[in-house]
Amino acid sequence: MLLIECPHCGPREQTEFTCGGEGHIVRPDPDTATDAEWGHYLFMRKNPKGLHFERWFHAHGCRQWFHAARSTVTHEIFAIYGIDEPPPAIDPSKAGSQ
Amino acid sequence: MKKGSVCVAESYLRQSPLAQRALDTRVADDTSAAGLVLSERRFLAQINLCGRIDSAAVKAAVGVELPTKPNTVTEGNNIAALWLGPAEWLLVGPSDAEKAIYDALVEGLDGKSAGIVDVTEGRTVIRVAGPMARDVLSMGCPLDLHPRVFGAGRCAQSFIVRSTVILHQVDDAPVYDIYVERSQSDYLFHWFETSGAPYGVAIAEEPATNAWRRPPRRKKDDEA
Amino acid sequence: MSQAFRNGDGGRIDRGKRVGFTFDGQTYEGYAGDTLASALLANGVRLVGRSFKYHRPRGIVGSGAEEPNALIQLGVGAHTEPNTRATQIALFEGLIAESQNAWPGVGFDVGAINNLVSKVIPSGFYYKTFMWPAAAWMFYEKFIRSAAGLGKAPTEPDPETYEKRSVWCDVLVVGGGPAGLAAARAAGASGARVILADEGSEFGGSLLSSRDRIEGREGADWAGDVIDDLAGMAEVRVLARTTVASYHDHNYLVAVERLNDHLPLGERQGPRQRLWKIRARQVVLATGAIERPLVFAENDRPGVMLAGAVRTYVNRYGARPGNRAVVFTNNDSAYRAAVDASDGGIAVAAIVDCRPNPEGALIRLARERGIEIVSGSVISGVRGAKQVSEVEVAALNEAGDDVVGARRSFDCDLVMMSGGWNPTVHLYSQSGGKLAWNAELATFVPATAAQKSREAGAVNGSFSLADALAEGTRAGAAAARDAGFEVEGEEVPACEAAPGDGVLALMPLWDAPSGRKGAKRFLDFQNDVTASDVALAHRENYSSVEHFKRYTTTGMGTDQGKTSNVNGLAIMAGLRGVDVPEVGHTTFRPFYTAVTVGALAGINSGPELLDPVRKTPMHNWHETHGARFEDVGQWKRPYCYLRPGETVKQAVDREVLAARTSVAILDASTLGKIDIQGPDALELINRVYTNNFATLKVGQCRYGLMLKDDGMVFDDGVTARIGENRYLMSTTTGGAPNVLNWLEEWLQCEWRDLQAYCTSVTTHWAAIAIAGPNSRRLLAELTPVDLSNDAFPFMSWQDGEIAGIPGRIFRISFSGETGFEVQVPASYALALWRALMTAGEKYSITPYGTEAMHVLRAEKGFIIAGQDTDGTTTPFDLGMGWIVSKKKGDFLGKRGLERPDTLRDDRKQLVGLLTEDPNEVIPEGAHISPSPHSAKPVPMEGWVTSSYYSPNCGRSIAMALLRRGNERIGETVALPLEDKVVRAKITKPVFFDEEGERLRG
Ligand SMILES: [Zn+2]
Repeated sequence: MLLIECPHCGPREQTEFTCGGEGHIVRPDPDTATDAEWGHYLFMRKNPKGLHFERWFHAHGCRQWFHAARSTVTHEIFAIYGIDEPPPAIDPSKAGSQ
Repeated sequence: MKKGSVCVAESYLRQSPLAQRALDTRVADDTSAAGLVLSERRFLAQINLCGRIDSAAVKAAVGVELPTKPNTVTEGNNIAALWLGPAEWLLVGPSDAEKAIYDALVEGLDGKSAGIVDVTEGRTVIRVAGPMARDVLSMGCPLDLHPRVFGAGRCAQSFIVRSTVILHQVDDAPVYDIYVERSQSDYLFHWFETSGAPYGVAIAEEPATNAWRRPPRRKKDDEA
Repeated sequence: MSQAFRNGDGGRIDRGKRVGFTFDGQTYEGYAGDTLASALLANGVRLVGRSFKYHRPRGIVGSGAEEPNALIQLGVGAHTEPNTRATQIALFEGLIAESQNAWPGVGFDVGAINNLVSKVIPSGFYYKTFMWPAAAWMFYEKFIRSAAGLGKAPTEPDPETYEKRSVWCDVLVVGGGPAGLAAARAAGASGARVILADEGSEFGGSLLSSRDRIEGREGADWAGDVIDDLAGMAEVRVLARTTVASYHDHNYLVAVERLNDHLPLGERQGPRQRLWKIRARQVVLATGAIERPLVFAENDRPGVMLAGAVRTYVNRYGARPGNRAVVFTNNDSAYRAAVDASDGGIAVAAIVDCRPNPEGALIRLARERGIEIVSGSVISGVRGAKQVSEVEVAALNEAGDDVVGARRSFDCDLVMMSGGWNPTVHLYSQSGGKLAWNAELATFVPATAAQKSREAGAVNGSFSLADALAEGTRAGAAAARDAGFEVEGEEVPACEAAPGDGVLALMPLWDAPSGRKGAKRFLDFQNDVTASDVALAHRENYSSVEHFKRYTTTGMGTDQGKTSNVNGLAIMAGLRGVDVPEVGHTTFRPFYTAVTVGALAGINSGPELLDPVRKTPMHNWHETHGARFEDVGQWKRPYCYLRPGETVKQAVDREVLAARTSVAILDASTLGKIDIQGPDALELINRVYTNNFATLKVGQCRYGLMLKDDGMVFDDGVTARIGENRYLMSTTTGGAPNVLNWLEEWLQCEWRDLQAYCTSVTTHWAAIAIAGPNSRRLLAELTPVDLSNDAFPFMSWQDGEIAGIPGRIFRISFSGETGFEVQVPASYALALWRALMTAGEKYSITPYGTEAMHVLRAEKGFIIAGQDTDGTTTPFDLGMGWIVSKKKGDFLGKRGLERPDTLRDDRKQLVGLLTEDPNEVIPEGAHISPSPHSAKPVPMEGWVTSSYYSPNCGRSIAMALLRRGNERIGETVALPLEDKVVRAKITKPVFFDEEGERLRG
């Protein structure tokens, strides 16, 4: 079970959070997006071994969304950053990426 | 009524979610031998505030400053203001004060940038005290409640077993106020009684509250 | 026998406290401080069980968690527990224990016939024999389980209670031997929050079995003093009888504290066990090492034991596992055991050492005692059925792969073996730490830790006392420092250990030759795996580590291979001609030793505490008025109200009819309610609903359908405009938290510019639905609000007092009847409910439950999101295209509805079904096929989503999602059920008052 550092509440047990999956997914302009682009936005997700930028929600806490950069191999969390912030630069090899 | 919803009905019609447990008939004369001391704080006024709130306006309207530090509580004018999120607070006042506090907030705050909701009926408060209070809480709550980390004046949202709660540590004894959704309060109270049983559980009298009074209103001209 | 094998003095038992116990029906006596194993050995009991597969007689092998053989059924009746290790059961007065896996008893065991036919049950036997025909597996499994079973589960409910606690600490020290004690003391002195846990009843670990001295005291006394020191430190928690059983991510560890298991039943108070869920900033693993058996011919005879275990029984318990021993070793540590055994009254006939020229301080100590050392040799056979009586010794050839020359025999009743030591790396490995092969020690040792942990002492392969104390002190201090504490001084306790302490000088001997074909050489005692089984697995190409493990079942017993794994890997490596690390090792999985289900459950078991129960303010009224409840999420909702003598169907029919003929009330408090405020509240609502809310005026309300962005129905409900910038949105009961999370997710992540604030008021407001032709008349008696159609039209709301309680009245209906929903602050809801019941008496007012509600809405063809939809259903599939706005801008799901897949004309669409037999109620979930005569595989074209008996229609009604349903109205379809095929006609999904006159009336 992970220990997640909520940007507001500090370290809390994973059970207080829900994971929102891959972060930084851009919702295309619905008026101009092709069917393929819209389908990609709806359904296509990365499933990396290693570094993953994802969204978390402190559901049983302050109810705020934020981003986390986490290794899917070791579960090490390299960065926690705001929901409106771009992903930080992290050496993917540190996270067991291949 | 469209300014919110407040009750002016006869109080005998009002029933707390733990009424069935008849706690007032079980109050112990002496709770000193019990490891866990429980009571219900009924009908506390609870107003949820969220949005881009002007803390000074809140202070002027109801007499309490909003905490800016996460997971802390400020108190003033018999209101406790609990931090719930970076732009969300719970104002807790004495019972029957919800209408007055709500009206004062609506009047004092810019309705365009704030959400003000009376949630008095949504939760009840279980007061948890006694020498085993911290240990019994740790049986269901994942928070680190060690005094180095969590002391008097701290609050946190988390869960106890599988009930979402707000914890407020009231003093260093320690005494905690546990805010729980009214629908789950009977379950949670039962859980407390069961968890505390090996250490002795006593029911205490409902803690008294002091009245809230509206701060004197300043005229608009004075503010300029 | 009265403790004939107990020494007159020595050991840490209390000879002043006799303890009576029963084993296999016979009564014995031991002393306080004994384990069941030490007491049995002191009483001369050697045979304690039968092996799993061959039912061979087995005796005690070890002295701790590693024990593979002495598995005990402990206690009787509801208190019985299988598969406990005699070596870890603290003796208490009145303890009752039984051996396992033997019928009728260990002495004469019917299953032992397996031993005689063992040639036909080699490895992989179960796989090969019982796999065919597959249909017979059910039969085989039953047979295998009863013949093989390890112990019996209790048949009665567990009378014990259990407790769980979360605890956070700066430093967790696992293991209370010299390294762990030194670590805890160093860390504790810094003021850090320290937890020290050890599985034993007494701290000291190896010190309890040795005669080494620390800081001028006997090691065990030093351990006691350290524990006293730690007890004086306010932030240190010392947990005895506590097994740290698993190590998870981010330094989360689970430990089980046995609070009561060492006490007689009558003295037990409070919870039996406590599960600690530990979150540690830093961890120090001082978990020690487990001795490795040697693999040699007939090494499973009762009386063949680990050398170190014998040392423990002699030194700690004053018990002699035998009177005359032969030691068999490939390293120096067994000499130390031989010396202590000899000093403890056991005649050591010989030390058989496979090394050609063993030398060193410990060897000299043995020689000084006159013990014969037979070097360059192995034990090539063990005789004695239920107890060792003689061993045969032979010399190794130069290559070390066979025996040569004449055999010698030694009479003995005990064999002490040592194949070296395996660091107890289970928790380390669970933490994700990488292991490295240490060729000198011939074992795996920790290499790179994956988490914030350190290892100290024997777990590192540092077997000397001085190293353990030094590493422990350093690790404890460093851990405290890394947790943010200042550490002053790091003094390593001085010690005096036996000469040669910690030296192994080991020569690997993985599979001792015997020169005798067919002599069984066991490597896994519990699962009866022999060296030949490894060879068979290799021949059949099950040579990768994970295949080999499962094929032979090595390490798959309750001991998880604590003594067998490394031997198995090394034998496989030899067969493959590679180094052991190339074979690798299997994964160490939680738990280190078995954890009771009770401890995992804690008190949160049973219907009352397993999961939160949510109750409405009227719950107790329902309970006392015959309500039969159903679970809707965590909510308890009345399904129907049973009157005396009524069946459920009769009750539901009565409630449904009452709503259509007079007046009925429903507790609708569970529906989700979200208060939405702010200047952009309308914009938010317009973006999440398919229909347009811009035209909604204050005082009105509107039904809305919510889609996920893929266009699929997610939730629905009525939203009322409460004020200029304020709305009250209602959701389904189950969807309430999801919808609130959904709104907040979009507001926080995507629409950050919107100023709209959402607050759950689900439990602030209680709700009562009033339905039926008399509903207006009834409500009018209780409220001054003008309820006439003109003053209070359908889909509007007004504030008002009802029965003296201020609340809100909504003119909405889910029943299709004239109806109102009244919302009042929750704590007044019971009063309102009672007032309605009293005032409604003259109309025979009827409370109705969820089933009647379902029937009423289904008669009208109203959907339930989540029942008639399943996440692949669009509004168009439901025939609700009318609710999807074509005029307004973007909303969630709009673009998704335009995708080619969503526009397909062969999608499943909502239809009604009328069975040919009007009394036939199709089970919900039934599949639909085109014809009862369809060829196999029968095409499945859809399924039934809702199905009821409708008393108003006088027949059954059903709703279904059916492929191309809209164009098939009037066709007949078939529904194959378990015992028959039901035929039904496809209709529009509305069965009653299609025009909706009653609704608006
Ligand atoms: Zn938070």
